Amino acid sequence: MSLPRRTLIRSTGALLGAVGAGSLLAACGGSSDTPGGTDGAASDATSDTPVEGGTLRAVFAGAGASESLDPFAGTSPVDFVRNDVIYDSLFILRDGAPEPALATDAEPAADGMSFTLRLREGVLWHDGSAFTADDVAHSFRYMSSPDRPLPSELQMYFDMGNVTVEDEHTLTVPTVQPIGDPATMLASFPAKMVRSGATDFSTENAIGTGPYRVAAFEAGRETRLTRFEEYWGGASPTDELVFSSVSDPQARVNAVRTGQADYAGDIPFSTAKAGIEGSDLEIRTAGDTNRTGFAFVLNANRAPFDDPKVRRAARLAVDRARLVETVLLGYGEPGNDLFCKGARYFSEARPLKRDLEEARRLVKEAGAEGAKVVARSAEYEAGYNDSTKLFVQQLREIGLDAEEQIVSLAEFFDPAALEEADSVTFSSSPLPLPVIYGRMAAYPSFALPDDEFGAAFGEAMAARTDAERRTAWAKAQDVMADRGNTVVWGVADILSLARTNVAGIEVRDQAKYPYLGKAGLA
Amino acid sequence: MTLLAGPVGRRLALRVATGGALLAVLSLLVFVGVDLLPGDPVTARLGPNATPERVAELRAARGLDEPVLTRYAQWLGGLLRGDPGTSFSGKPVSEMLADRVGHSALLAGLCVLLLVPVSLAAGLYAARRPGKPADRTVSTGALLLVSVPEFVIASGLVLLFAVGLGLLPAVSLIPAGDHPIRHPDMLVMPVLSLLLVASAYSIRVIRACAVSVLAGPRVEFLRLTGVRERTILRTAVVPAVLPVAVQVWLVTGVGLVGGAVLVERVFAYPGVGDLLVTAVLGGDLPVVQAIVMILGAAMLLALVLADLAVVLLTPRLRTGGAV
Amino acid sequence: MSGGIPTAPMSPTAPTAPTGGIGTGGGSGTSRTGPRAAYAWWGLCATGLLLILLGPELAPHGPTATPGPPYRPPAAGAPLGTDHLGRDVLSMVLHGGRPLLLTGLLAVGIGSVFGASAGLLTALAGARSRLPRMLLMRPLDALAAVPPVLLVLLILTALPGRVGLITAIALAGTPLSARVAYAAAEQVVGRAHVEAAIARGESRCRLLGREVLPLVAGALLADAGIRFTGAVYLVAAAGFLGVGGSSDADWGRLIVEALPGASLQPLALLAPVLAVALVAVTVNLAADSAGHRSRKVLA
Repeated sequence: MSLPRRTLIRSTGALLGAVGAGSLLAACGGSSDTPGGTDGAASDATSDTPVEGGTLRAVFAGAGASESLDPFAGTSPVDFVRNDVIYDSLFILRDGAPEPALATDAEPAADGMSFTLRLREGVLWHDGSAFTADDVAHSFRYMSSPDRPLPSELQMYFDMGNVTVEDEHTLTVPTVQPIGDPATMLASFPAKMVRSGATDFSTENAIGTGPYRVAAFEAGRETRLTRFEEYWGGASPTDELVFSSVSDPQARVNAVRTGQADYAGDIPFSTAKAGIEGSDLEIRTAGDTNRTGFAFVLNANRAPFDDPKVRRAARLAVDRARLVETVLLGYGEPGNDLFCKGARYFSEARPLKRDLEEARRLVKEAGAEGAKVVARSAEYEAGYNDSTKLFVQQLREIGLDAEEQIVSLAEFFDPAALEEADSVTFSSSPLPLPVIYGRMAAYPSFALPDDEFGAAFGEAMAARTDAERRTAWAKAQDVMADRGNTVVWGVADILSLARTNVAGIEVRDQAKYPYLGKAGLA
Repeated sequence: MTLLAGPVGRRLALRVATGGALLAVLSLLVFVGVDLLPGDPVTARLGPNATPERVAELRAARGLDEPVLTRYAQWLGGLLRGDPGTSFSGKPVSEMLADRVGHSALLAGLCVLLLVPVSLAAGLYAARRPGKPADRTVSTGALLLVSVPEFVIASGLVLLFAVGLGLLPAVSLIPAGDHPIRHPDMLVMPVLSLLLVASAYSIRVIRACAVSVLAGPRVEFLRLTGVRERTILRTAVVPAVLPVAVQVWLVTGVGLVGGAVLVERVFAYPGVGDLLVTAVLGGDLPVVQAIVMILGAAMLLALVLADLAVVLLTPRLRTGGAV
Repeated sequence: MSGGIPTAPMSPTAPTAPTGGIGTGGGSGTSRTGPRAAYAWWGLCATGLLLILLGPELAPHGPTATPGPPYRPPAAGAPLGTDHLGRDVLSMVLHGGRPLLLTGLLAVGIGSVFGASAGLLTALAGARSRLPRMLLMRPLDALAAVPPVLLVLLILTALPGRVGLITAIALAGTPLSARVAYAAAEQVVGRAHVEAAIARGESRCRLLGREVLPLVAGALLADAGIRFTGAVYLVAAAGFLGVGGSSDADWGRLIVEALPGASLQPLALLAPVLAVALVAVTVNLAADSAGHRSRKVLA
């Protein structure tokens, strides 16, 4: 499956057409003027292949003036999408499995405490020089430097500063804990390769090995990229890619609707629900293996959720159907409390059924009746605060004294405040399991203090074969399903708006940041 | 220019001096105040990746564990050298602000340029017919415009002019390397949205002042002596209204430089308001501090100009009676 | 322009302003409304006020209850439909009026009183001393230089909840109020009747109350009236930034929350916007008529 499943949704605009007063407000959500349009038939569009030439214009949410061509500095969708086509990684993810890119192989040593990295030969930088092991050693040092605003998370696993260059296309990388599958780790975290010595990433110096080179860049506004003919993976079909940064989702929709752009990433459910007029426009989903898991992470290190019974009670109390209907407007399905549905080794346990009586009984049994529960949230993604408000209502129904604590984004991840909270609203795309469980383990307030889980997690990280990994992850997820601290209530579709002739858009690691290196107009 | 040598000149010099002093006070207030804002810049930056160890590391790297006054001294020193520091994104603040302040000033400037004639005309028109349907229409219209949030107005304009009629671009996608002024079609709707919202206050205050002047003894005297209404308006009403109106126009205009956040969002216009809110939400304190200082200085300058306008426009003060 | 101030204080004989000053909304086009229409108008205002104040008691559902699916169009039991969380829009609007009205009126009232006092005192003293200018107006200039959103954030950090919100909105409005008052009063202070009163040696309070205030009241009330709507959106902005008390369902916040789904359920946005507009128009037109009356006091 090289192309993501594209689902065409056409919803009716009849609702709005019927409310005359809504004409002014329609701009806020986009609607059809023709009442009684065709009804929500979802179908797979034909998988067109892009033709040679032309310009593809795409809009994504940006980060304003703080956007950067430095592949390790960006934090916004447009940064990720742009830097994905300028720079390459050593490995990429495809359907959750690592696939060689700039590296051809990463072979772990017998003890798992180092691995040998072999590089692809004949790769050229945009300036015509050759890609070598020195570039990799520099990139590792650069991305994990403590002076960086965001040092790479890979240093939690690899000793990034002590890489040995064996020859022009071979390196040895030491690890800090036994790692059985280094390729997955290298593919999962943003680990783009930059040229040896590169520290300045202005428009002229942003040199990568990717299918596009930078022609013009203005942070928070626009990037113009032109095709790199010598790309090692074969030149891309489209002459020029233009990315614009547009933070407001409705403005992204308007840009495509009025022909200013061909593709808009991450559009709101309400827009899809209201429908978009125009026969050459379609709303696409990234498919049901590329959904975002929405969750409440319970703090298992303090009362009342230190008691597995109360954790289970919360999972029995949450009204998954209601949350999916309200927060996701039906664009998704109930979750089974485990993160990363769609990722490799994900355990397809069945969601718990809502059972208030049993939940109340468990709360009573644990002596937690009337216990104070603070549910912390900020609008980190659309739906965080709404889901939290509903969750609080649902916890109250089982005898917990729950209240929401809605804070600003700047405060949200304050570690001290997180440790004081009983529930934190969180979400994740289907990252490889080592990434999500590794991240949660690093947070005192997110970690599950459970010996059996810890042992299974370590086993999974060190496992060298597919079968061993599968067994270990199944064990770890069984613990989570039984007495875990994540309430993944639903998985949400990732929607985009495109002209029907936009083709070749791929999902690699996360559907919110699609890969446009092979995209174009059909 | 002889005016400037006289009492007005002295007064202006004094005002500029106090303005400078206020700016210094403001810098301390802003630095310490922004530092006290809820949220931690480091955890906000690291987001879900913020493990306690990395938070501590980054705090130390950014010098955030030093006392606030030490950091203020360093910041002020940098500011005086023209270096407002480095953003938490790793970029120099000056680079991030460079174009955006100008873009916002352009938007606000165009808006004020239209605001002056529109509000003066509408305000005087209403004031000459107090309580009559014309007055009520103007007042109610202005009030309705100010009651509807600007993003609703902006979205309405987009629906009408971009989606419906296809006359104007829906989003201000200004190409890299271009200045917005080279794309007037992309400025029309942002300026219009701001104007519709901002004009209400000016219209209402101008109307109120003019009503008061028109009902006053001087106008009555002029009327009794048979002076034409038009002349009365020009010689008696407008001069009396202007000192107040200038205050409102200037303060509104400077307010729009940093306060047009929602309009900037709706049109994806690369201005400083959006940057301010993004920086506040992301805890990017150096950016917040720099923007607030720039906006503060602009506001203080506007206030000095407004004071000067009052002096120049009030005959009694102009001749030095008050100083 | 030469001064041209009339020498004798003339009694402004019957200014053109009508007593009512506010339309009855009938569109009849009459400029003068009879006392009966005025009574009807005030009755309507009183009813509206009562409705807002008793709203939370009248609401069929609580502010956090979610009786229906999200974005349901109007139906029996929910005449205005439901919002993005499935809350009853009518109930939310009824709940949202009281906190907003009280916050807005208190904040604007406090801000205006402070601002107007500072401006008027400075204008009156202007002829004699520079001290009030330095002590009153310059600190307000510094306050004006802080962007309102930041001011709200700072104050809410120190003083969370409604009290902080009221303080913040009041402080954000004070500088411009003071400037408008000062500039308007400057035009009046030079007038003959005020100069005559100063010459008579009347006390400053008397001067303010009898001679100056009636003439600048119109501008002050217009300023206060508009800033009431400003207050609504500062409350909303605080909500947008995630600060300032969590669960109060005031109109400003309802508007911000309803925006993303406006095409699915326009009433959830339209109802609070209309409510704000209605209150704003009423408050401002009431201010107009009060302005007219204040000028008659002078006669």
